[in-house]
Amino acid sequence: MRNDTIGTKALIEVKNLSFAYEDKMVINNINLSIASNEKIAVVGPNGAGKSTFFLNLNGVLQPDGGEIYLFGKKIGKKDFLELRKKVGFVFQDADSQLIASNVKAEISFGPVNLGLSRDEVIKRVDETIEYMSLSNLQERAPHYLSGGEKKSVSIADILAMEPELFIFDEPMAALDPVNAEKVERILEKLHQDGKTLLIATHDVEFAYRFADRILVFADGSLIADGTPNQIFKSPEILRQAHLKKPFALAVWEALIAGQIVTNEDDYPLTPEEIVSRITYSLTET
Amino acid sequence: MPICDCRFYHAKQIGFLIFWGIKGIFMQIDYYAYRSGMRDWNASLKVSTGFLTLCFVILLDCILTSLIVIFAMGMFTVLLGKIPPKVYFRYLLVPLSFLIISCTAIAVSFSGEPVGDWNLSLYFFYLCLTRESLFLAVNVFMKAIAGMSALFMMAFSTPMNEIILVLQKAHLPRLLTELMNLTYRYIFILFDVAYQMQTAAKARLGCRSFIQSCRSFAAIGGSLFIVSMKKANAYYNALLARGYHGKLEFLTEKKPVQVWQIVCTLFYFAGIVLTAIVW
Repeated sequence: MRNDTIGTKALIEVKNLSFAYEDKMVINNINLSIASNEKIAVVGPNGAGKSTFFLNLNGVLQPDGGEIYLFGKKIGKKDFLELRKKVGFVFQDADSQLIASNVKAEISFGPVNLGLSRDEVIKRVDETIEYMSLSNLQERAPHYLSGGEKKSVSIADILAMEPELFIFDEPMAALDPVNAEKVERILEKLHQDGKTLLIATHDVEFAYRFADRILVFADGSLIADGTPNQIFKSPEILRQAHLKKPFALAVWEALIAGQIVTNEDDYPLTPEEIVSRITYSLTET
Repeated sequence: MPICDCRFYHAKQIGFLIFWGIKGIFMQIDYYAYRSGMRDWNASLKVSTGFLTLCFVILLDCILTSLIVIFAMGMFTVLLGKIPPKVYFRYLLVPLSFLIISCTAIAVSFSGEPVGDWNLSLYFFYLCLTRESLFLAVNVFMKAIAGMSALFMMAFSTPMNEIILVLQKAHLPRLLTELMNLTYRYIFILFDVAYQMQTAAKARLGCRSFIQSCRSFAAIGGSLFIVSMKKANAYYNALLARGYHGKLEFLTEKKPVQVWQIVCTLFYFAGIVLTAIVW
């Protein structure tokens, strides 16, 4: 998929990006190009600079070195507002994002800031509420919402701004399995609708089954960038970024080594797929 | 030795008690405001009715007016707003102790001689009560309760954000209204964090004695401050990420005033003024 996009204009391109808090280097010399409709997982230990990198991409923090290109256009000192419009950031802690005193007003905050007309704001808010099925919550105050509902609202916040690139900072953190699954379905839906997703996560299982491409951060550097199989098959990368091998991959590799299944390119992504593939090959033989 | 006698457990935590007392009152009013039957009324109408009532009660200075206001505001809040009467009366009673003390001070005077319409000999001096002072005390008492009932009508029917919006329309400086908005939103987060910290302190026997409880309260206060400072930065980033550029604005719903609501309000005000004149 990545090879197809070479030649076409990348959605966002980062060249030699560096950022330091005070004089401590937090992210160091990052080069990256993201095409439209990619779904990318960003993995790496805490403090590896993922969040800081995202804040740079979104224009909240201004890089100390390097350039960001949006649709091939260089973002200068005065274009950071443009970056905030095109790159939406869903924060990890929904409470730090929710600000208005009811859900409808909350979702409207972004579109109002974009300077849209009242009718357009209403249209976007209604569409977003419909898209996220939040209609039964729209009059509620954020402090009376549950954790999962807060997360949905914080995603709706960004959705209403209609950005090109969605950044999610650990969207499943602190959610119960049902709500986590719900968020995953929303992410899948966004991908189906042609959005570009950049998702930070500690859940390697999720990264492995969901992403087309994985970025690995360690100590402020981008140490690897590739398909899930490339990343998780490399012991060196896993060691450097303190990652574990996804369950499905480990099991499938063992099955290949034991010559129970044949080594083909398309690996099963979930335990359920493994089960169905094994039953399939067993019934065939 | 028992770690803690349950009966005195809470008495040891005076600081916490005050904190949760404030939180309880605040949260409950907020809770009912969101569920009020008058929620769909135009907020400007409600706020201005409350405010004008307050002005009338003070300016007209008449017991009958105060009584009508107490009755009418009570009806609005309980019948139209559907606030449980029990809750409403409990809130009306909040200022009662202050009122009783201050109204007694107005009504009663001390004297060396037995003067006034009624007096009570206390050997060294007399407690005297005149018709006028008694009337004055009752008037002040009624005025205070009437004022409270007008404010409660407003607070129990209008969520905070709508009250703030009305103030904004009334050209209160933006700085103030935005601060009110942010304070309102974040006070709930502050309560949550404080609650977690308090639970964590209790779990580690932080409230086993009065001294220890004071220490815990101080420590929690201190770390709340530091946490707030740290979080403020994250919140500001989240604002920026959504295109905030100095103006906190949201979509507000227009709630048109109904004709019957205006008629109702006009009748009510006419009633107040007329009774004051006739009286």
